[in-house]
Amino acid sequence: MTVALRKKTAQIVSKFVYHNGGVNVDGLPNHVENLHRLKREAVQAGKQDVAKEIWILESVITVHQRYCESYSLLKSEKYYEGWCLLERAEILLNSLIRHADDDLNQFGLEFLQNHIPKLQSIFPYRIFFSPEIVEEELKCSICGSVQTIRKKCAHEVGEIYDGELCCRIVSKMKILGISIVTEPVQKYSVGFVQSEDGTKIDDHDYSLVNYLMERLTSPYHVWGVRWKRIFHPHKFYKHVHPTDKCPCGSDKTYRVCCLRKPGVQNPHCEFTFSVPPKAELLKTIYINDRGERATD
Amino acid sequence: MNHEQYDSLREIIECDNPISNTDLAIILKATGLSQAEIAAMTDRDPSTISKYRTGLNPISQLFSKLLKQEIGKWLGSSIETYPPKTPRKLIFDFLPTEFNLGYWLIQPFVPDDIVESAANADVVLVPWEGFKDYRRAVFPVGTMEFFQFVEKSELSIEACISDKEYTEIALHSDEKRLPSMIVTFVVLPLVLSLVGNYISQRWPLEKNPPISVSITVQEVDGSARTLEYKGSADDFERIVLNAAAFLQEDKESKQ
Repeated sequence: MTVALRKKTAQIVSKFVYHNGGVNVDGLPNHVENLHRLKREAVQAGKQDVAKEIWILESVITVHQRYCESYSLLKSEKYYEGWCLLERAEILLNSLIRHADDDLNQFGLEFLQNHIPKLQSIFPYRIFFSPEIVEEELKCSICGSVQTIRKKCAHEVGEIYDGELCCRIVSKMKILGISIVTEPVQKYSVGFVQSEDGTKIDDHDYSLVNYLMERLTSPYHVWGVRWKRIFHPHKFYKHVHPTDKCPCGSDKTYRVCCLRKPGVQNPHCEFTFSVPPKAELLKTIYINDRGERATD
Repeated sequence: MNHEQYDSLREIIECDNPISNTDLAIILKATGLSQAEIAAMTDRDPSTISKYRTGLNPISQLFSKLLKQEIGKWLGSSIETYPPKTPRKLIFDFLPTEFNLGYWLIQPFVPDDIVESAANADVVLVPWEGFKDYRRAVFPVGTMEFFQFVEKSELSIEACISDKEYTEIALHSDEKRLPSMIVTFVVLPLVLSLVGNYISQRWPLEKNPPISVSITVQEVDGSARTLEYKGSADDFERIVLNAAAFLQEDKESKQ
């Protein structure tokens, strides 16, 4: 039975790809309902292996759904919402990879494993507010029993029981403080400024995300990103006097530093696409020290 | 400097061949650096640079290597990660400590029925005390999983805390914190190997994650040294084993 279900799930996933990430895929709701039903029956019959297999297939579909919805949000310039959903896809993917067999390509998981971190890397978020939490009581999500260092239930965190992922539920906790970090555990904890009336002000620069979204026509097209330094033509820096500090950010003057080189050496994000965008979109965009944009 | 001159420079510094006096002339022309500036970069006399340039003196391999490095830095890296990732600092201390097993076994949060098993265990987990004025002793999140992992091995493990008082703390950054532990010198290599296996099993998708751990190595006479490590997972076992080897040599030299 699970062989047939696997095949059907792989077909559903390929429809995600075929429909360029459209979430209204033919047969999806029926297949998901079928999986839920079969998992319930397997659990009732005590067939843990079958229930686990079905959890894997359900999670495969959920991960792809979250990824596609995140892509849609980013296309609609809802960046923070897209970022949060991408993190949820990443978390489920990490739980799933542990149980999926070597044949990841059948479900497109390897693609997600490569592309989710790439997409996260081009976001401008650098400061995160992360809580310090004392977990005073922990319970098992499967049996509900309180866990202590010597008295634990037989359920292992990360394993699948009764078709559900085992984790620990913090039933009593205390928040000690909030820290400002650059590499957080919880990626959703992005720092935003608030106006006097309480409105969130999002002044992050999403130009890289925008650049990518304008050129991608499907969330499943392979793309790459590489950070390097390139020479920005001196003509974009006519406002900088040779005795001013060099716009590249070094401590030297412009004259001693980059004025001697073919251009001002600045960080550059280079994208590559398996499906080339339209020719008019394939231009290098230069941003100078004033934030002014130009193409060559 | 135009792009062609830049490309020529890149070719010179990336080539395995030593720099010739022609290459030196190209470098001077393309960069616009004076002989005095080149001399300052390479810690040579300006007259030496002049002799290199005219061919009066052959260019030494050492000078060639140094000049390539300096011009490479001057040109700047063509490929780098951005935002620049601050290289993770390695923090490593291996210092005597008075917080040996004897200290922990008399703490109020260690019940009497645990003292004997802790005294005989190969690995004893000890809590963090006074974390941000929190009144209770705490363990880093994941300590339970580590305890379970070691329990399944050939080593025995105990923790200096009662079940009732056991609490974990989840901290902010993505550093993998392992519980502090006390081990004997004899089992240290086994423990290090176990810790390495635990890290790769617990975080299989992360390549070389940053970890922090404190291991107190206790001798038969009760003296102890604490290894405090904060750095990459890949370097952990190598560095700590070297420290253990040093400790062994130190002991043998004193005998």
